[in-house]
Order: sequence, then structure tokens, then C-alpha cells
Amino acid sequence: MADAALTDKQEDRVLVERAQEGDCASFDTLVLKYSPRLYSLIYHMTSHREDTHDLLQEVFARAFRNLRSFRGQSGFYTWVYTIAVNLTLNFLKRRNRRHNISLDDIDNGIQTDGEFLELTATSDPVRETGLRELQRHLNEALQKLSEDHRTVVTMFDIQGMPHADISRILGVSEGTVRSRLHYAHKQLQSLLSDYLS
Amino acid sequence: MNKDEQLRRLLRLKRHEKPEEGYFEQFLEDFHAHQLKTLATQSAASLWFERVQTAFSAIRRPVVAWSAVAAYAGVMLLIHAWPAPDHAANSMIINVSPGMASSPGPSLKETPLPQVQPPMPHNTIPAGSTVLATDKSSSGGSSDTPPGRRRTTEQTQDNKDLKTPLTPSRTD
Repeated sequence: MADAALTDKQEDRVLVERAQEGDCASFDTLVLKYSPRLYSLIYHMTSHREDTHDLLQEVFARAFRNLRSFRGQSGFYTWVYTIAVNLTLNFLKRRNRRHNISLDDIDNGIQTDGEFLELTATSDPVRETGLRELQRHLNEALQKLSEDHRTVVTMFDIQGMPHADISRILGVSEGTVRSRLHYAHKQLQSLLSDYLS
Repeated sequence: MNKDEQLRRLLRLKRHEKPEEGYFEQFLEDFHAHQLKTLATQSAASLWFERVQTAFSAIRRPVVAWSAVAAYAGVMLLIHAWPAPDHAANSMIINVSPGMASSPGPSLKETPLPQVQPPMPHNTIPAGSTVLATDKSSSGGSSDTPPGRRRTTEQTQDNKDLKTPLTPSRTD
């Protein structure tokens, strides 16, 4: 597992070096490799498909323009992930200042896969509710969290990132990450009480 | 299963929310178009600002970032606010005599210096010591001229002079 991660990082380093020398195809490989994970991060923080698309483009555009300043102290993924978190948080602050998001704006039409159907079918409280309804409620509940809380929930609960990595990317202590998770979970339990027995 | 575990299970369901098939391939094409558009429209200043912003975003601790900004601002303030040296005041205070002409400073222009020949190579003689001028007749056999220095001046002119007596009175 550790060897695989190391190989992955080495592979990234080679691609980054080539991209720094002007090989755009290497950068495209990095885009294709990491766009699904970054899409997931941005989408779960914004709950909006078009915003996610625009932000994801901006993340990679910014990464490309600043690639020469990337020294490789952290992995490429950590670096580009940090850019994505910062851009998304800034975007959310701007969006909140502009107007409170309407619940109609929240995307609830994302395609679901077989595993999702299976999981929801075996869950008793969920069985009685439509899938779309559940998705809508989940997204609504997430949007009611503060940006900081939503970020840690997205990174930890949805993306499965360890506390240490979240702490490093957000620049806060692991204690703060745990504390934010605790309060976010409390709030979500209250918001989604219909689905929890 | 407690409520927290149930909640985590619910949230894990969101992992399965994905965009439609072929989205990421299409995304790459859109990204290329976006790149071209940005290159054509973005100004150099905004690019520079973005680079600074991205560099700072690597420093996730705001205290460190703001300390760096404060230090930079402090240095710039010192450079601009530091009083410039007053040249006029200096020229009033310094009074250089001809013998001290080697001292640099604007007041040297105000002190009348005797006409001298251009300095010889390796000339270590102070400009005020006019007796060291190459005109031998004017130098005479002045006893207050250091003989060593006279030799230095003449060495550069003619090696023959080294063999001849140094003082005009002896050549006579």
C-alpha cells in the first residue's frame, strides 16, 4: 500500500517535471487523474454542478499557471487539493455575500450507481423515501453547515481523508479538525433526524 | 447502530454521486478552451497577483502569512521614509585643505586646487602635494619634499632618471 503510494507520487513527480518543461500532455494526464476527486470535493462543498465545473477549470488553470513555482515539497495532489479548497472557500464566501443560496439551486439530479441503489435499499429509514428526496435532504443539510464545518465533513466523511491530511491542508490542528467534525455531526444529526432511528 | 454511525453511513452515500458518463473527457476539452481564453484576456498584473496569492495559499497559517506581509511593508516603509543625506549641509561643514584633497566629497570643488598634471600610474601622492608635478624646474630641490616620493614620480617617466642623482642641484 505504502509502496503503491510512493510509486504514485514518483509518477506524479515525473509528470510534473515534464509539464514544467512545457509538456502539456503530461499536465493533461494529471488533470484526468485528479479531476474526479477534486470534482467530488468541490461538488459536495457547493452542491451545484455548474459552479463545480467552473471552479474545477479554475483550479487546474491556476495550477498550470503556477506550476513553475511548485517545488515538490508536498505531493502534487496535496498542492492542487489545497488550491481547490481555497478557491472553493473563497467562492462560497462570495456567494454567501451576494445572496443566500436558494434551495432550488441545489443539485439533486446526479446520476446514482448500482452500489448507491443497493445501499439505500438495505437501509430501513431510507427505503420509504425516494432516492432523490434523500439526496436533496442530504445536500440541504450540508449547505446549512458553516463552510468550515462542511469542508471537514466533505473531506473526512465523504472523501475518507485522514485527520492528519485534513489538518495539513487546512492549516489547523488535528484537535480543531476533530472538534469541527464533532459539532458538524451534532448539527447534521439534528437536521437529518428523520433518517436516523 | 448509534446515531453517529448512521449519520456516517448516510454521508458515505454521497460518495456515489458522480457526474454523467464521459464528463471528465469532455472536461479536458473544456479546460483547453478555457486556457486559451484566459491567456488572451488575463493581464500581467492579475497573473502576478495570482502567483503571490497561490504562494501564500501554501502557507495555511494566517499568522505566518501576515507576518511576512508586515515585515515586507516595514522594510518598504523604512526605505522610503528614511531621510536622504543633505549634501548642502555637508559642504558647509567639511573644509578640505589642498593637502587633504584625496578625501572625497562635494566640498572639494569649492576649494581651489593648484593645476597639476594627470596622475601617473601607481601615483600615491596626495593631490595637494604640488611639488610632485612632473615639471622638474618647478620642483627644484625643495628639502620638504620626501625623496622617496620624488623617485616614484620619476620612475614612471624615464628609467634613466633612476641612475641619475635625484636632486637638480646634484645634476648641476
